[in-house]
This record gives sequence, C-alpha cells and structure tokens, in this order.
Amino acid sequence: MGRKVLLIEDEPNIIEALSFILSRDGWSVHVHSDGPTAAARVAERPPEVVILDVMLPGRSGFDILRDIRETQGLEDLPVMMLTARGQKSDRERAERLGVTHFMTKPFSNAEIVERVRALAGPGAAA
Amino acid sequence: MRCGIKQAELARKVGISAPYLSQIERGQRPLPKPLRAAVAHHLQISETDLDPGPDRAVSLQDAAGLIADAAVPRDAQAFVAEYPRWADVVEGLANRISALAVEVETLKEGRRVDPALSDALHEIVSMVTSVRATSAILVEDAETLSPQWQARFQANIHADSARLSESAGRLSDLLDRTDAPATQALDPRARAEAMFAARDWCLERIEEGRGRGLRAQLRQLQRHGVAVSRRWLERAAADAADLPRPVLLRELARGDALDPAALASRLNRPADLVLRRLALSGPEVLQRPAGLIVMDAAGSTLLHRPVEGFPVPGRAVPCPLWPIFAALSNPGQCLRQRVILPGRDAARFTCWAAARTDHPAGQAGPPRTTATMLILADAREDLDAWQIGSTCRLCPRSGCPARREPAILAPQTDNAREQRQAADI
Repeated sequence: MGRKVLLIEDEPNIIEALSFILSRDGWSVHVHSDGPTAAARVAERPPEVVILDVMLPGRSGFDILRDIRETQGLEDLPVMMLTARGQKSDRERAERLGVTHFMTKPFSNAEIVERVRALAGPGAAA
Repeated sequence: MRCGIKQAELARKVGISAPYLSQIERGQRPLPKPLRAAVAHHLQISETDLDPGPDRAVSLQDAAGLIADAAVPRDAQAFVAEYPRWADVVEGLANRISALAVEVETLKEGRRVDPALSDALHEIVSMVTSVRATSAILVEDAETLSPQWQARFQANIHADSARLSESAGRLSDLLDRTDAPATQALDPRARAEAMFAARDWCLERIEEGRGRGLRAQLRQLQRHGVAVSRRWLERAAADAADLPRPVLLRELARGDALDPAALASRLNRPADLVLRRLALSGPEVLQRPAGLIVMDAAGSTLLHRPVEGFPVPGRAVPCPLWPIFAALSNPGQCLRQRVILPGRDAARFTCWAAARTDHPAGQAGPPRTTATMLILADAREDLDAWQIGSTCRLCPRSGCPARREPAILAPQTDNAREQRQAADI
C-alpha cells in the first residue's frame, strides 16, 4: 500500500477525481467529509499529507487547520489548503495558522500531484 | 446648580440678572472675564474649572481635522469659550462625519465580501474545478481508462455542469439584485411596480370609475400597505380615461391577429398608450402573459411588468438591441420586431414598441420622450428575429456587434448551440 494522503473535502466529484489521480500516482487516498470531526480524524491516524478544503459543512477549513496545529505531534504535518477564495487576506490567514501550501481553485491535476509529492518529501510516490 | 447654590442667588451675588446668568449657563453668552473670579468664588471652585476643558478643545481640533484643508484653530479653548454654540455645531458635524465614514466603510466592506455573493462564486469555482479535473482524466487517460470509469466520470461532468448552470443563474440574480428594502421603498420605480403587482397589473377601481376610482384605489392600496406611486396612479387613470377597457375589448374583438399599430390608428390614439393599455387593463384583454417596459430617453426603466423568459436587468444597462431603443429613435412610429433570447431554450418573443415626445415645460423647455414596449411570448420560427440579450455582462452571445463589455459567463457560440440542438434531435 502506498503512502497515505487524507483528503478533507465534501464535494463528491472533486473527491472522486482527486482520489483517482492520486491513486494513479501510487497514493493511498483516504477521505473525510465532515468538518467538525476532521481534526480528530487527522489526529487519530495521521497521514503523510493533508489536503484540506476551506469550505466544509459545520466547520471551516481555517478552524480545522488551527485544531490540527494545536494537536501535539501535528505541528509540522504537511497541510495543503484548497480554496476558491484567492483573496490575499485568506492566504495570509492560512499562513498565520500554519498552512504548508495554499492552492486556489481551479487547479490542474498535475499541480495537485506535484505538490503532494513535494509536501511528502523524499520517497514520495512517483 | 450642582454646587448647592441657586441660579437666582448666584446672579444676585455676582451682580448680574438671573436671565443673563441663565444664558451664560446655556452657552448662549460667554462668561465675561471680569465676572469669572466672582462666579468661581461663589461657586467655591477655581477659575480654571469654569473653562470648557481641554477635552473640548481637543475634540474641536479633531473635528477640524476631519475637513480637508481646514485650518486647525490655534486656540480652540478660546473659540469654545467665545462661541460655545458654534463649537457645539462643529462638534456635532464632526460626529456626523465620523458616523457616516463608518457607515460608508461598512457598506463598502459589505459589498466587497457579501457572504451570498462570495458563497455563490465559491460554489461556481468548485464546480469548475471538478469539471476541469474530471475532464482532464478523461482526456489524459483516454486509452487506459476502463469503460466503467469513463461512464462514471462522464456522469460526474454532466452533474457538475447542471449544478454550474444553476449556480451561475443564482449568481446573476445576486448581481442583478436591487438595494436593501429600505432603499426600495423610496425608489419610484419599485413603488410603481409594487403597486401594479399587488393588483395583478390591473387597477380595477380605475378601470371602473375614473376620478372616483383613483381616490378609492389610492385608499385601498394604502390600507394594504402597498407603497403607492401617485404619479403612476395618475398616469394609469389618465390612460384608462383616454382608452377605456370596454372600447379596447370591442376593437380587439374585430380582428384576428393582434396589431397594436392598427388599433392605434382605428382608435386615433397614440401607439404607446395602446401598448400600455393592452398590458395593464386586465387579463381578459390579451388573455396571455404579457410583459411591459416603459423607459425614458436616457434608457432608464420607469416601469417593468415581467414576463417569463425575458429578463430585465435591475440596475445594469439593458441590451442595446431591444426594439424599444429603436422606437426611441423614431418617436411616433409603432415598431414590431421578433426577438430571440440566449440560452438553452432560446425563448422567442414578439415585441411592439412605440415612443412619444411631449413638452411638459412648454415650447421653450426641453422635450421629453418616453417609450413603451409590449412583450408577448411567441414560439414561431422567424428568420428575421433579432438575437438580443438582457445585459452585456450576463449575455453569453459571442460575436454580438453591440457588445459593450465582456460577459462574466463563458461565450455561447452559435455553432455550439446548433450542435446541441442537433444532438437533441
């Protein structure tokens, strides 16, 4: 089984597309769509990379990111935020909360795969 | 006074009249320097306690600072002491300026980060992302993708495209929305349309009885809380008096096909009047849904009766190809033109438009031209139909010679529509 990436996203078709392309690249893709329990899910079984959407039902991606960073042992976990809101204030907010990479929608499949590999570091799926 | 001495007693001790002291206390007159020591003595306070205070002087300087290029008073305390009432006025104005500035910034911020607009945009971008990612898979993995995955991803694109269309429609509604209800209540057009819409676009009392009907209609509408536009009420009454509904119905029964120009000629009435009467005399006149637009020479919509399939922008400038604009250029003529709106269903309408010029200020004053356009749904094919839109910003037509600004939606080419139509067959 490949290295693990956790996709925190609630749009079914985006989940399906990203799962397909990341699996094709050798990743084991896990999905979590519920905002309020997302941080707990990450803490329970930490992946190598988290892909986190900003707009989630019940809890915003920013709050989830904060929860992750405040969890012992997850301070340096690579987290990539996906957002349609490309405003400077959103980017700055994410950076203050400790995001590893901030990607605005729409993105290309190649960008996602390349970024996940980079965040995971050496030994990432090729 | 809070120092335990009555005003009349203090005035007597200081040697002035009580009314004069009262004026000093209320800031209507300054406290003369010769009296300061005596007043302070009898009040058992220091003379400096009688000054308006440094805070007042500072606030006055701050007030001056709000006004661009205003010279800041060198001695604000002296100004306050000398002109206390004017100081009050200046401070009041400064507070008002500050409050307005906050309000403006709040409004600006609200427009910039409107939650509904932001959410609509986010939804659209998310759908676009999904379509892009899925279509890239279908293209890049075309040779290796299993038929099951192909079908699955194609279904996903289909679903996302439908959601994208809905979201774009909601976005256009948001962009097209009018201001807050408080503003709408003051807007003459909104008042007029609310009045007509509340009565199903026919003011029955006016149809029944002219002058008496006007007053009764006004009272009835006001009882029901409908914001009343007296001007439009009077105009409707004048129109009804000039072309009573029974006369209109009788003339309509004479012919088969609707021909407002012929009606106007037979009745010896202005064509624009006939068009308004056809739309606003009640459902039994046309016996089908009708839209109406009344517009001034500047292109501002004065009244809009909606009809399904013919969107009219709230505040944005309408499509310049509407027949009503051709009528504005030819006052006195009644123009008939078939039109097609963009979109999957390509709604078709027949429009009649007429403009009239009068001189409300007399011969020496400027002329006033208003135009009226009647809109009826008409699904018949017509090769000479004009391809129009609602407003450039929301119109997907590509290659339109009258486009003023780019559309926020992706262009819809004629080839693409024809391909879709062929596929539907």
